[in-house]
Amino acid sequence: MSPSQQPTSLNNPAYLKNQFAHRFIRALNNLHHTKTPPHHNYKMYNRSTRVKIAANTAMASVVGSRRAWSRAVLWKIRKLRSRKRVNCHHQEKVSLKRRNPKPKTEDFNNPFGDSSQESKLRELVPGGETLDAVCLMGETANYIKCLVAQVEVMKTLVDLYNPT
Amino acid sequence: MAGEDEIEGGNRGEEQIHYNSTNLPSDWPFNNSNDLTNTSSNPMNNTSCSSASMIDSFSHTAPTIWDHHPTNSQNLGAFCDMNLQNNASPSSSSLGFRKGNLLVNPRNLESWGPANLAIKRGGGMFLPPAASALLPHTLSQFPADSGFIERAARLSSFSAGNFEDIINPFGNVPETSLSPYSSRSQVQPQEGFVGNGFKSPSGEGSKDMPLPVDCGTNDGSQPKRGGSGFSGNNLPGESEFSGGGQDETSNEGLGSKKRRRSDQDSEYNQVKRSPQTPNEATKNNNEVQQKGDNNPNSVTNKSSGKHGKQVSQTSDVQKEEYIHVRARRGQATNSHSLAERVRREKISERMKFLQDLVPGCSKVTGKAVMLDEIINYVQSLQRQVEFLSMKLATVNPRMDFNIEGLLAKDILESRLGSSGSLGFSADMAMPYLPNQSQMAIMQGGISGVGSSSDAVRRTLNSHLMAIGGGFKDPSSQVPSSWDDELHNIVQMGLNPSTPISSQNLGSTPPGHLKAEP
Repeated sequence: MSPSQQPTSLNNPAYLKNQFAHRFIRALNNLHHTKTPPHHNYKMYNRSTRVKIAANTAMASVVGSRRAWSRAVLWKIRKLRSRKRVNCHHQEKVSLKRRNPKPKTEDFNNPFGDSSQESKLRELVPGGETLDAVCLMGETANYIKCLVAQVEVMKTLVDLYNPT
Repeated sequence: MAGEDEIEGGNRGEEQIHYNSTNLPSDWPFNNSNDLTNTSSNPMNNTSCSSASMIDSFSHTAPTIWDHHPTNSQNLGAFCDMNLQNNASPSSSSLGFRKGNLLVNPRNLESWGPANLAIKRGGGMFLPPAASALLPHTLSQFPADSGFIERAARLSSFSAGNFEDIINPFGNVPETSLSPYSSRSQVQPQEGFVGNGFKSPSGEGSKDMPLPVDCGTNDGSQPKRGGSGFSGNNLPGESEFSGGGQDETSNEGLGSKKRRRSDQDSEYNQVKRSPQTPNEATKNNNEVQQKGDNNPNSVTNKSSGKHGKQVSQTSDVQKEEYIHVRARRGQATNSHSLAERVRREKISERMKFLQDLVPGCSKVTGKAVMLDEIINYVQSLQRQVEFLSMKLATVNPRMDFNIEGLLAKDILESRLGSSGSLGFSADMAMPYLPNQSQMAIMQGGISGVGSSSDAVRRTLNSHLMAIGGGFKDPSSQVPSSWDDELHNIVQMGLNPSTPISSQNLGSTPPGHLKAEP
């Protein structure tokens, strides 16, 4: 149960999904039993974002600190938690604010010719602001893989618990 | 032979040091270029002296040269200082068998004669008494040792040819001597003797102590080449060189070739090397043009012209090979653009990898469009996550999430998705649509079987869920060991039903539904 020790098995999507499912479900259970916010509307919003964060965290923690994007996600989560602890009575506002919103100036010898696309991709991939183009591509590939697995598991869960 | 080599190798180091320490200060003011040339050439001579194979290959050319330049005796006078420089330090530093070197060096001088003469004239006739004293000495030994003479002659050509390698800090591998570069440098010596000689001063003659060692290795591997290089291919070499000397690109080509040849060499060397090439080349060029007309060597050397042609041909072929490795014709070869090219290659390679990941991206050509596709895909995935988390948030709070249910569902779903005819999960098959629609087609026939086992599975599913929920309700956190255990059970139980679900939970051995609890 220590995914960080088996880097090769992470290439196996089934393993990835399994690990993610375990973590995510545990997080969901935590979420379920800890909070019962009063307002329904607010609660829904809050809950959904928290579920999303839980899912992202679970995925990032499965991947571990090997990848830049997972590192960035974990770092954001930690930041978020610490902030939450500081003003604990505040309803946590989940705006995943960028620490360094300025993308690194990669304007010189830009391989894509169009830097707007690349910067867009940088914004999409967590932690992509500080990567160079080569690393960004690799991170994007891994991130897509993990996102696909995450989406599949979450879909399964939704189908399981929301049979409509 | 081997022992000698060793001794040579051992001595070479100190000898070099001697050179640089003693000779340079004394002779530098009067003729830098020759001095440095000698310093760099001398170790070569030593090493090649030790290799007897050179002797026979060169036997015929040596006398011709010798005969051809009787006038060299005058030159010898002028050269004696060179000789002196060459000889003095080895004799001072090393053993008696250096005498071979002493002999060699006059020979070198002889062959260098025509080329060096001009220089010497420019530089002023310099006849130190020591040089004149040395000259008879060497000459007297000459007849006695013909093998050495021949070797020496060969060495002279050799040393010139190898100057490039001497200069070249990375002449560490024997293959380098076979590389186009060194062979090309052998083309140079005939006319460009002095030019090569000049190169070393302009280059690293003074600062590179370790060079001679490398030269030694080159020497050992180059014996055949040396002979041919001496004799043959002046004209092509000259034309090529004079052409190359002038323009920057060819110089660059020279540098890049070197770079290519020695991939294991450090960037530092490359950087250090490349700025030098223009200077050297231009210098060489000047010298070549000066010498081209009045060089008697070219006439002499035609005796073994075919040999030289062969060499030049092979060198051309090798050159082509090397060019194809990294930079194609017309591509920039400085380190920045090389690095940039490598980077671009890496990016495109990863883009290809991404292309496989993103559906519908394989048809797209062009990086911009591909990037658009990738961005869209990532965005859609993230939106999907958002949407799904919203949906999950609306789940009845009393209902508990459990891994077993998920796993069961996952397995079930993958199976059902593959055999999509079961009405139970028409919508469940949706998420896996891209993957499993094909599977559904493949396994439509199995759906009947699936339906029979499906009831069992569904009941099992609910059962397990109930168990999980019951256990989990009191303590929100179920011990993970229990989770795992149950998960194993579930997997054991449910896997059999999913021989079809090849994608999702990969290895599922078929065939034990009855093992259910």
